[in-house]
Amino acid sequence: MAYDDHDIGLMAHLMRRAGFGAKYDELEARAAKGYNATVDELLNPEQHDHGMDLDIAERCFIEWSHHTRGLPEYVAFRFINSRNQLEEKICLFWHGILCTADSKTQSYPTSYDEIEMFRKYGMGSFRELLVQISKDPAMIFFLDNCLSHKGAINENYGRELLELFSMGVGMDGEFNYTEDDVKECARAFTGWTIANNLPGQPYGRFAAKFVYNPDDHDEGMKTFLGETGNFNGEDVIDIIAKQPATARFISRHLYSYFVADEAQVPAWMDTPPRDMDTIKMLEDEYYRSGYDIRSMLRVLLHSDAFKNARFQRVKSPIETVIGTLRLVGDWTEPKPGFEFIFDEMKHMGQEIFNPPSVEGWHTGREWIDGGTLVHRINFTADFVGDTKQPGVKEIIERLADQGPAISPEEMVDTTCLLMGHYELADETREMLANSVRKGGTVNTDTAEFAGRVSELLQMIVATKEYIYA
Amino acid sequence: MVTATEIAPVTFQYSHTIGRQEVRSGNGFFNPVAITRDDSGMLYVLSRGTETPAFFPCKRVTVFHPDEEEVVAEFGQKIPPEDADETTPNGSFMWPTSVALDSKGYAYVSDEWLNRISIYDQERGNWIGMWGIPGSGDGEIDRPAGLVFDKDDNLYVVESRNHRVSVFTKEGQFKFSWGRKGSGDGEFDHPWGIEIDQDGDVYVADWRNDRIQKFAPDGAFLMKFGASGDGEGEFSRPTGVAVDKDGHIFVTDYRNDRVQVFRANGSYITSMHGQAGLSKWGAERVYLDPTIVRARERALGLAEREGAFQGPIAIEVSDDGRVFVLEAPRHRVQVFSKQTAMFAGEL
Repeated sequence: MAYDDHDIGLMAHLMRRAGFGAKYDELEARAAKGYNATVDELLNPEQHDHGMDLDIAERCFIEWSHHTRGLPEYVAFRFINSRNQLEEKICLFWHGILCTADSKTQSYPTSYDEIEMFRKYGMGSFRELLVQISKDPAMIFFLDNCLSHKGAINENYGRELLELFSMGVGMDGEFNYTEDDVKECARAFTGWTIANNLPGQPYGRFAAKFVYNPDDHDEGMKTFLGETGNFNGEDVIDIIAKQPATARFISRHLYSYFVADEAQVPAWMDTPPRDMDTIKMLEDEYYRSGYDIRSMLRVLLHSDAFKNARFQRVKSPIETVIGTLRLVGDWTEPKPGFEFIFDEMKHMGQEIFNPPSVEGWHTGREWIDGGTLVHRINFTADFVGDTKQPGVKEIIERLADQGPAISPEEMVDTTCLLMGHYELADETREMLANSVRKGGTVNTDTAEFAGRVSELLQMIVATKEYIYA
Repeated sequence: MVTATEIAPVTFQYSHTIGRQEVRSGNGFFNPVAITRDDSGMLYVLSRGTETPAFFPCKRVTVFHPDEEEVVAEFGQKIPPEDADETTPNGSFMWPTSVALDSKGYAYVSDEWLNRISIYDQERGNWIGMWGIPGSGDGEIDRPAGLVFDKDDNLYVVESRNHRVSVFTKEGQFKFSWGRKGSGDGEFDHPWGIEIDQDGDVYVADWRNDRIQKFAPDGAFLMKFGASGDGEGEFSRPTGVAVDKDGHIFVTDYRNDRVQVFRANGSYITSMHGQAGLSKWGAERVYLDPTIVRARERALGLAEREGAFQGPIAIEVSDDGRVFVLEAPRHRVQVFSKQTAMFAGEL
């Protein structure tokens, strides 16, 4: 299927998935540059400035200093304001897969070092990423590898590395590894430990540091996934990286995060991928590129499967909150009250730095229940209903540019376009148009017009369609 | 015959560390940003705190003796962010940034969010007034940061978002200002700390230009030194500046985690990197909890990790050669004594 390189609707889709959404003026600017150019820009953040005055932000919020910036609010600020949106989105992607939780590590500086690691390695070699997560102090503490010793292994990290971080329990109905593989894997990572966190008292948290202790490493022969040798952790990762199960596992995660909601991870052994052709394409690229995530993303973002998959994913709470703030243009610079934003995500079911378990967050429809849905709608409606927000003002002005009077249908359709080319079911569209109609003729040059737009915006964010990205 | 060679114009002897992370009140600080000293030797440390509601009253000025390490007063009030506007109650802080004392010992606190200067009496705590009109015109202020009084009780206010220094009477009457945004001589980019030396000359930490500028009392440009980087004489966001009676200039090189010391002409002398130990207030907390004691005992490289400067943000020097370095992320003051020059050979 042929796509227009300058299609704003397609650009809105790209920015919702490879970013946290964008205001219409940014969509126009990016569409003018073209889809291909934008994908290249997103995939190569190191070639561009992130566009944030982080030094000023750290000055305003002293607690975001270079030693203590591991605060969820700081992470959220970057999600909102970074020009390199995919770089930030990838941090969240890995944060939800290679999971640690601050509820156990109790050290935001250590947790933040992990996020920085994702920023640095998240679009590079998956093999290297596995090495880095295995050396990550937050992970070593979270999954007890610091308690795994030569002759007295703790299997926790070895198990999750295989089950949740790389291969998955099984594929196509078959198990991917055995209990013996788990034990041998754990043996290979003995000696991978940390200089532990310093307690929060008296001088606040200090980040933990990776330490390799050769005296505590098991130098014996190990047999892992059919190969035998005196393996250390990196040798085990080499074996893992080349497994077909690993290619499948990473491909399914990328598909679920960027294209369309998949089944939850524990079901993957027995539940085939939703789109086997696309998964196969990603698996092939995994091997062709030498396990390179950036290459897989390039193939994915240029695929018809991706371009055709508009509104196939339920937005996560973080995507909802950050996307709303980017839509209305709020929090582009530091100001008091930012902790509230972080709390909103938490109340909707997703707390930065605290996935509910090592399995990460369950996604898709599992984000939605009665409580979280109400919270999601209330939060979003509050912001889009504020006509002082820059992004809301822009929508009002652009609608007014349509002429002195517009039909209810025009008002609904144009507003949806300006919010990022949202697509409403006919029934929803008619319901909204009727609601507008009840308010009388829509005259764009009247004092009450702004209020009518904000009411419509609030109704749109309460629709079923708006839950999806 | 003199054969001695000066091998170190100035050295520093570590004395002790004061403080601990204290998110509420009492013996400690929370994200402290400013330090000053009164005529009796009492130190005033301003904690910026955070917005976290449970941490109350984390935005405060703590007054204490640096040797006896005893808190004698606290003042200032934290307000929730939703109340941080023109209706904010008297004496409250949102983004407090600096504290300075006038000749009577009254404390003046700048607030970068509220754009006001709040005044507290010498009884250490009673709010007695405030002034400040937000804006960019003469006599208006935008993001007041560093504060310092001259010997005539004129208050020099660094305005980080107006990129200038404005001088007021202590009652808030505007006298004059200088500076604008830029990187030329006498121009600033988000300046922060300020100091006045014995001659009345003014030093400004030109934060985003990574340099120090020196001015005559009337604002006439005198000299500058520093550039972006981490080499000797280079800075990464210098926040505070102090000048001692010998004319030595001390700069908190915030992102480089060090204090650099310069001669009066701006030439580099040396750097300080910190060597904090367990403070008295810190020990009070540590030994209350055996788990903390054990965690510290098994912490690899504790002395090195804990001792080095991390985010030194403000500095104060005394006539008796003491140097007080305040670290925001570590909620403490490291105290040093300046030593005389070291020579090798024979005098």
